[in-house]
Amino acid sequence: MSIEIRKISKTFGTFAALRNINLVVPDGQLTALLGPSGSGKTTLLRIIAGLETPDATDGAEIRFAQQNVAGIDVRDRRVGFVFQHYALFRQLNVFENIAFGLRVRPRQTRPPEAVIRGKVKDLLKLVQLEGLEGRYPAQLSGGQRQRVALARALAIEPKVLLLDEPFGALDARVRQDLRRWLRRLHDEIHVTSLFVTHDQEEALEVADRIVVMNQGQIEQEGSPDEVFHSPASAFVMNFLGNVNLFHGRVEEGKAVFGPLVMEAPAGPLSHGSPARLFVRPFDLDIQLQAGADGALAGRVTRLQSAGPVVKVDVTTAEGQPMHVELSHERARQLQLAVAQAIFVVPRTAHVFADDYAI
Amino acid sequence: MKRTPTDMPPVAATHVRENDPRWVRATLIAITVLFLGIFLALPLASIFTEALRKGIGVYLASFRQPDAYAAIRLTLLVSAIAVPLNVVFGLAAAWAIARFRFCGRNVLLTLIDLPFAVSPVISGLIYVLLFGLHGWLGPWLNEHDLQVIFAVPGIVLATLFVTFPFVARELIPLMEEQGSEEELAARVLGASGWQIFWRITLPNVRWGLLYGVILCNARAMGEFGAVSVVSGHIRGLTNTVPLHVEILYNEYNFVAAFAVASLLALLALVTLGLKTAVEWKVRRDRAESAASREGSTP
Amino acid sequence: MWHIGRTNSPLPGFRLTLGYSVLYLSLIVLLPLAALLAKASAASWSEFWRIALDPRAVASYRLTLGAALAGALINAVFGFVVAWTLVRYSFPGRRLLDAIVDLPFAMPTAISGIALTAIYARTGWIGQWLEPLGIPVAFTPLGITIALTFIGLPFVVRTLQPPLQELEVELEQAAASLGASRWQTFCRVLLPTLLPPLLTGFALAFARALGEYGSVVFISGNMPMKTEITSLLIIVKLEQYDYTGAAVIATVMLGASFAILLGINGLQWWFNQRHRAGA
Repeated sequence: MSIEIRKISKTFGTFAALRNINLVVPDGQLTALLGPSGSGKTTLLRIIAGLETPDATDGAEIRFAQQNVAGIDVRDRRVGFVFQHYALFRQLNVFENIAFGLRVRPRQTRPPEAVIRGKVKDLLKLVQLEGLEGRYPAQLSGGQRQRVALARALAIEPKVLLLDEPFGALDARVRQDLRRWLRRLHDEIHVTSLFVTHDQEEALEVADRIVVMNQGQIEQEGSPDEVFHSPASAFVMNFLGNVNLFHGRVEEGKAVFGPLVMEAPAGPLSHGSPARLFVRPFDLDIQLQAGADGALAGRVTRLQSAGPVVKVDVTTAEGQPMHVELSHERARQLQLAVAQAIFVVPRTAHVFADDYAI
Repeated sequence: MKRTPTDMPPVAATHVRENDPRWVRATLIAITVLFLGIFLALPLASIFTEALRKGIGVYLASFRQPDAYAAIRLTLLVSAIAVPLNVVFGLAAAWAIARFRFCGRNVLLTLIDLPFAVSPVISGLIYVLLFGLHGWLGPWLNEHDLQVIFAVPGIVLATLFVTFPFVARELIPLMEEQGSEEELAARVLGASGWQIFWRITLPNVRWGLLYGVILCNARAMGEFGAVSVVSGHIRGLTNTVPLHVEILYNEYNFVAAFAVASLLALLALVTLGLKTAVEWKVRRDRAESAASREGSTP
Repeated sequence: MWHIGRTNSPLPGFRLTLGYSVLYLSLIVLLPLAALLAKASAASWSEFWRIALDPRAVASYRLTLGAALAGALINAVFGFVVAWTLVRYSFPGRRLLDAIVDLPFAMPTAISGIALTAIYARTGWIGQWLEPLGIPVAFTPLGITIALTFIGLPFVVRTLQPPLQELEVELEQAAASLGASRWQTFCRVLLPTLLPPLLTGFALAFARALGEYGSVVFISGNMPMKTEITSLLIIVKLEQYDYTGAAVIATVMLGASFAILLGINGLQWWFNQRHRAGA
């Protein structure tokens, strides 16, 4: 079931947490809401769930499939919500936590006890917690709690599944395992899912689609490939990994950054307007001689080869520090040494002028 | 007034620090033992000593008088009415205050603290001025042959006034600390308001509630000043146990006075015992909830 | 007066619980309080002050304030020692002593009153030793002070215990590592941190003592102008069917209680501000 959001804004006092959000979360996909803290992503998630009420704006709508749910109480929205700190019922054991959503149904629609038991057993199996049904939340590890919370949310057969920083409270190792597991789980059950995260790696690894948010607005939405390789804004570029930044100007239709001359962004840009060049460390190459296309002269200040790539710190002739990542093979070819004079050449770069992308 | 002594007094051996010099430690411990001994233990001991001064037979005989019997019955009746009413109020007020932000919230909180700041005598006086013969509603009540002051309803009202904060004051900080995420989760899963209350909220606050009930009950049974103003001291009819003690004492019937007083002293000791036990439970619950929020295995 | 607007929580029951709470408080608290103020304002302005400043009333204020202040001061000193000892040292009987600190709360005030009187009377356990020294306790202001000390003790101890526990060991170790003596550490590092809660506890004990009745009436002797506390004066006026007089004195007491309540809230606020700034 798809989620459609139209013209949703939310203000807390004078603070605009969300500004005119329009978004479609496609049916059956796993979508990440990615952004720094304070970007409004959790607020958006809670509004979709019905835990917050959006500002009363004309035309504001939230639709599950085609149905407008804006006036529907959180109780009747049938969303599965996984809270950041899980919010497991501490006085109930794992079994009763998962069964809760079925047990509180009105008598007419409540399934018989045998059905509830069978369903909880199935869910326990799905989240790999068989045998732990008698434990209480305090007796579980963080990862186990997370999976109980997920099973509990799935028990009511939600139309959509919403997860608020699902891995935020876990330590790094468990987090890695769990997110792969979540991806596999989603491939099994295919319920439309939306999760909030501030960790770009997590979003890139798990999600089918990524919605990047900043200051209450959507910066870009697309597949992980799209947002990573064709960032729509300087913010997205910056947020999705390390970048090297150069400041330059637009001159006669070209963007000029010292010795580097690039295609300027499309659009009527006046001569002399400022431009910014973003290059990811692995999109830079190092050469020992200056090539034809223009290169930045610099000196190696630090080499770090322990790791999957060789990290080279360079200071350009203008005194700007740069980070370059080379494959071990390339580094061996070059035989680099600290203090060596070299030339840095960008293979792929993104030029933004006045914050409009190419 | 965030912290008054009705909050949990925290004792944990983990904070013990032995790094002060021996003589300082010895002196301070001696002062503490002496001070608490003279000011607290001695009065407690004196009650039982005075009560048993003329032997166990006279002690027990003090309870066999019809007036004493009636006083005990009235005290039990008053607390049986006041405590449940205040439990309902405490739960309602805690739900409104701890789960919602609204205009006037602080006024409500201050109002709940009020009986702690008001002299018990004034707590009684206000009902005399409202329901007494010369009060606002006195003439009307008189016409309809209803008596509040110098009767059981007045005693119940005065007791309600001095005891209503206990449950609410215990629950509000506890529920604020626990947060509303579990209740929200229950709501998302389709639970009704009552289902949330009975299945989630009440189990989560049960020890804090019990703690409040214990304190509320102790005060309800032991209240003297407020009740004294509204009771009229009619023997066998409007005398609660503390008032009965006063009458016996003023008649120089010391043994009987202390004998009946020893009942209330026992109640106080039971209260302290229960309170200590419940505090231990609550602290453990809080530690658990803190641990479960950390998100790692304890 | 009440803004019953929807709040932003999706939890149900707001109107029901708030409505019930407000109704309950109105019936139990606001309506009777209004009756008191109405009665007090029935007296004219000059009448009000004549009653409020009657020599017998003034004597009772002086006694009540003085004894409450003395009791609160004694508690500030000894309560500090008790809290310090109970938190920082372990010794046999510590838990028992800690539990018994709440006795003045748990014990009905009248019972405390007759017990204290029995101890400090001329023939009592302590009275028999003090009397020959020319220090009569029962039926004197000293007796009242002792009763008010008894009643106020838990306030100081229980207010001080949490901040004492939160004191970080590192704080003392850091001071020591910088060359401070134990006494310097106490005066310059620990005391400033503990002063706000100590003041709060003092104010709470003082406020409680001002209105105390049950534990005092037995030991005080109740002689007008000498050992008659203000709470008792209200009862005396009531027994003389002087409702206006009782209401006026009660209003004065209420005013004093509110002033202290405000003061305590101010202290807490100051304490929290400092706490936050320090954190």
